[in-house]
This record gives sequence, C-alpha cells and structure tokens, in this order.
Amino acid sequence: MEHNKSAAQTRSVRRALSAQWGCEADDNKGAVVPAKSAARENPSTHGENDIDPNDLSLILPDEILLKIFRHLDGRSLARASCVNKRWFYFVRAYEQHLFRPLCKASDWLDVVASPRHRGLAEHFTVHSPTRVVHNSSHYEAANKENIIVTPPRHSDTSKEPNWRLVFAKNTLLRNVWTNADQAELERRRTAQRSLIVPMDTEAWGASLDAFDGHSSRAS
Amino acid sequence: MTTSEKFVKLRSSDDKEFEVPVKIVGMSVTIKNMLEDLGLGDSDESPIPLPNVSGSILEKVIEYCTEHQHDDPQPDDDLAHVDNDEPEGFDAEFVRDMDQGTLFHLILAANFLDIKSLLDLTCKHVASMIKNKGPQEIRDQFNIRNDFTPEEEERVQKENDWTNSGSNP
Repeated sequence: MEHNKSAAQTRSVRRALSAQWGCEADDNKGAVVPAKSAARENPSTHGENDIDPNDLSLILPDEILLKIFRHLDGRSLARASCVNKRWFYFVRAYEQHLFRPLCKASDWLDVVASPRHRGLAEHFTVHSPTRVVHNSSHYEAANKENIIVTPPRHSDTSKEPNWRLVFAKNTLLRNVWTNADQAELERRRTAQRSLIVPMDTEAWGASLDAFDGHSSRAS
Repeated sequence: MTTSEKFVKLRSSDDKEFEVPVKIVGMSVTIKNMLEDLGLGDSDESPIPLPNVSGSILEKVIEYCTEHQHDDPQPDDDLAHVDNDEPEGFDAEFVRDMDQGTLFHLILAANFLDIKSLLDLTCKHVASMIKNKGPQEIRDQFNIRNDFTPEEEERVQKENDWTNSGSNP
C-alpha cells in the first residue's frame, strides 16, 4: 500500500513537473498575446471610457504594481499572475526583481552549476544544509537534503538564473520531499553525501525522469 | 521664526483649498521641492495647485501627514528591502475601512506627492488583499476582467500549477 501511494504521488508530481517544463519550453513561442494595455498603447483609439475606473489592474501604473507585488509571497505572486494579461506580463517582466528576494528568503540563492555533471547538473545542485525551520522529522530530513534546482539558463546573455523558475521548482520539489515517506527520504539522505548529487534515476527516482525528459528534449 | 509656524495653501483638482502647516506638507517631497523652487514666503498667498489630487483624497493625505508629522524621516530603501510588518494603531485604522476607490486614488496621490510612508502603507494594504487568494477571488475583489482566452488561461494556470502542490511552509 505504502508503495502504491508513493507511486501515485510520484506520478502526480511528474505530471506537475512536466507541465512546468512543458510550459517553459513554450515560453518563447508567445502563445499568450500581450494585452492591449488600453489607453497607454494607443491613446487615440482607446478613450478613457474603455477603462473601468474600478479596475485596480488598469488604474495603477507599473511602478506602483511593483511596490504592491513585492509584498507578496511566492505563491500569492504566482496566483496573481494568473489574473489577467497585464498582471501576467507584468510579473514576467519583473520576475527577476520579484522572485530573487523570495529565493533569497528561502536560501535558494546559492545556485551553482556543477562542473562534474554538465548537462543535467546544470539544472540541479545540492548545497549544504543551512537551517532546520520545522520540527517535523519529514521536513527536517527534506531540509537537510536542501535540494536546489536551477532551471536551464536562458538563451539571453543574462548570467542569472530565472528566479521565478528557481522558486517554482524548489517549492515543488520541497513539497515532494516534505510529503515523501520516511524510509525513502532516509535512504536518499544517507546515500547522498557529496555536495553534488550524481543525477541518476537510481538516486532520485521517478521525479527525476520528468526533468530528464525535459533535458534531453532541450539538448 | 521657525518654518513650522508657516502655512501654505493647497488647491485640489476640484478647487478645494486647504491651509496646511509647512511642516506637514513638507512630508511630501514633491511639495517640499516646489516650495523650495518657489521660495518660501513668496508663495504664502497663492495656493499650490495639485491637479492630480481631488479634495477628498487630499483631505486623507493631510490627515495622514498630520498624524505622522513628528515621525523620523524614513531612510531611502530599494527593492532589496521589504518591510512586511503589519500596520498598527492609526495606520491600521486608517486603511482598514477605506473603500477601494479611495484606496487606489490615495496610492496615486501618495505616489505623485512622493510621501513614501503613505505609499508603503497603502501598497502593503493592497498586497494583503491579494495574499492567499486564487486568481478568480482576486478578480472578484478588484473588478478585474479576465482577458485571457480559454486556451491562454489553461496554459497560464498549468504553468502555475505548483502553487497548488503541498502546503506552504
């Protein structure tokens, strides 16, 4: 039973992860068309009557939206980006500014690509545990693993990883770890002593397959 | 004679005039700069026009500034620093029962007048209205129209699927 439960969990995680990666792969195709941001874009054809004066998303300029959004936690921020096109593109435009402090708060800033495991290891790095923030033994074990996942580098010149993806993937993975059964966690914890985890399905199980699948697609 | 004994007149967009001690309007960096540019004392009689701020909003701004006139000036900070303390006392009361229209226009006024602490307070309050809500709840709260096509919405939601996994520690 325990095994079935964990298998089902892994499957749902895998689905979530591939959804994440799948979307990522589509990012540059521009499937979502930028909102015609009302009067700002074309003041001659959009009178101010087109703007609902009660619509918060339209009356506040970007600089203020930024001031509001930087008070949000990562989950709320991601959900806010699903509200409408303007917010979606706004969060995208400022994702480095908005998500980097959140990654920092979670100790997810130390994202280093491994020289030993080029390819996959560019996406995954484990760094040493920093602090235990929860009493639950599950969480403690998860936290000791302190798995840091870095996303693929963007094709642009930026050296920085995409902090939104760092945040999303680590949150997801942390939840997997938190929910994983104790025996599995313990096995992984004792098996991985080096700073860089060899990225094979032996050590990481099916949750890795989702990433692996993406990686081979990308290369 | 100290500057705190001086008054300036402010005129709102709907032609309401307010006579406010210089020390209080000085909390607005915009007005402070205007006063310096105009030269204090010469502008005693003619009111400073604030075409972006209505009388009712200006009243709120003055109420806020009067309460906070003795505060130490806040240090300039950048995006790296976010103060997430809950507002207390007057500040909490000030924003609590405010209707959304007033709140948004107060944000715009604080931004235009460059009153940092008021802008922080109001922005933080809006953030607290967004926190821990789903996209549809946020739309309902702020009258936001969902302008995604069904396909776009599905994709955007899928991308943010991770927000529904596990618990937020």
